[in-house]
Amino acid sequence: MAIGISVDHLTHAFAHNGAALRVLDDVSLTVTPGEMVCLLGPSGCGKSTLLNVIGGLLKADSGEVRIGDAAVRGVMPQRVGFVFQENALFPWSTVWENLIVGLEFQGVPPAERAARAARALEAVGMSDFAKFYPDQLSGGMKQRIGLARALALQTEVLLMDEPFAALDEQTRMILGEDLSVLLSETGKTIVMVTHSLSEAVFLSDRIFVMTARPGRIKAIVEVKREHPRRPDFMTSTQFNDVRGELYTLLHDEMRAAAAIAPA
Amino acid sequence: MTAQPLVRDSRSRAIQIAFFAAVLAAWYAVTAAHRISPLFLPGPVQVAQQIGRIAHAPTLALDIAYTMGTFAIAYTIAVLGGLAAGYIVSTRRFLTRVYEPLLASLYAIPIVVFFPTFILFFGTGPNSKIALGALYAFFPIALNTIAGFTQVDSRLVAAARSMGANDALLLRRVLIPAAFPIVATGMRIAFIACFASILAGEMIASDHGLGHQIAQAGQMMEIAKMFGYVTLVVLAAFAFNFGVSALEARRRPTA
Repeated sequence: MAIGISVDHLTHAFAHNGAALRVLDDVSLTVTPGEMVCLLGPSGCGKSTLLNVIGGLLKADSGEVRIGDAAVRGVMPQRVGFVFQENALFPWSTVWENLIVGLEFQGVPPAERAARAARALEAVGMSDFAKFYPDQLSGGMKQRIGLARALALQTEVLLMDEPFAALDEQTRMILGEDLSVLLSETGKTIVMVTHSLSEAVFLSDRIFVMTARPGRIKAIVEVKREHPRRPDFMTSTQFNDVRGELYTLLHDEMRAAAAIAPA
Repeated sequence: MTAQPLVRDSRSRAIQIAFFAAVLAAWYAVTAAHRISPLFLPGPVQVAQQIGRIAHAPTLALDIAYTMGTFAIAYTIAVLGGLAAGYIVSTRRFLTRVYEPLLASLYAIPIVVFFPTFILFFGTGPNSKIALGALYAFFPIALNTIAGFTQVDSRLVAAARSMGANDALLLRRVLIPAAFPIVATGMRIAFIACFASILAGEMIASDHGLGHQIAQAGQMMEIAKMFGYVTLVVLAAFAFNFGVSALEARRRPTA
């Protein structure tokens, strides 16, 4: 059921104040079917760009991405679901309508939409909020709905772009725990962008550490721990060791990123 | 949802009603004290009597039909033209860059100065007022349509695309609802501009309509009758505004 992802020699540059700003520099990686990986790197290292290229929202200057056996040429709504940073819900629609319209976009027959939306809402524990509008929900609740909207699409691959970035520490811990349980049940192949070390360690099978811009894969760190992961994992020596390793890898890159931040 | 907003609503409504009551009382007070000549400003009682007389006049229905018919045609032309032009200009960045400033500068022209030209071309009948009213209403609708469609949050568009939305679904489910509040504001501004310019056109040159009656009563120094017609126009504007607000309240505001 699950499918893998392969990224081959991706290079990409953006136009910035008339000059070409190189964001991705010969990035290659593979994600095995059913694996959960994080892209971790300093701000502006191109990790979101990489995610958008993998998902077909953006075309890289050169290189290739394959999802399963298919080369990515554009969005693949049947195979790849996105969870964006906050505010990607339609504010004029209720929670329920947000889920239904996603299924309509994907081309799901009307008769099947309600059941799938209801199941996805239940999975994220938000069934009671179907009639609410996004601006009546907290940031954490909105992200649960964003996740439900992607789950309802029943794609084999899930791409998450800093889904917890705007949340406070405690909310993201709870969401992280729930996500670990939920995603280990679905067996999806997941790529998540984050700049939180703890989040990366807690959720990932492997972590791709990126350099400061132009982004390259600097190191791959493995987290050997069964899913779903429990809160006690966070206080374990293993957690702290991996987190320390990531910190050392990232520290110089964060310094470098701060020095080259565009005006 | 709770009782709280209802209480707040009734309190603000009470203040609004008190405002109009105060205006009416002040009007009554200055006229009853004969501080102002009734030739210039008749009292509310006289005006009310005149409204009763106007209501029985056979011309009232004709005048209302004339003004409202002219308005309906002018506004419909402006809505169709403004929405179409605005949407087309919003679809390409190049078109927006060229035409948005152009439309904005044309909007700054006091179009009423061309009214004598419209009379020459279209006569003193409804057509010259339709031209005036439609032009006044066209620009705010076109400009707000451009603003509405070009300011759609790109993240929402990306989200819709990632879920497989084609162009038609993107327009119907994302672009139109996202642009709607700004477009609706333009249509509301246009409504007021259209109504006002048609009445002004009728006051300048016409043989029928509420504007014509106001101007004629004024010229004949029948000031109470003039204010009678003015009151009818004001009430019509309030009724419209009330209707639009009720419609907007049915759609949930996006905070």
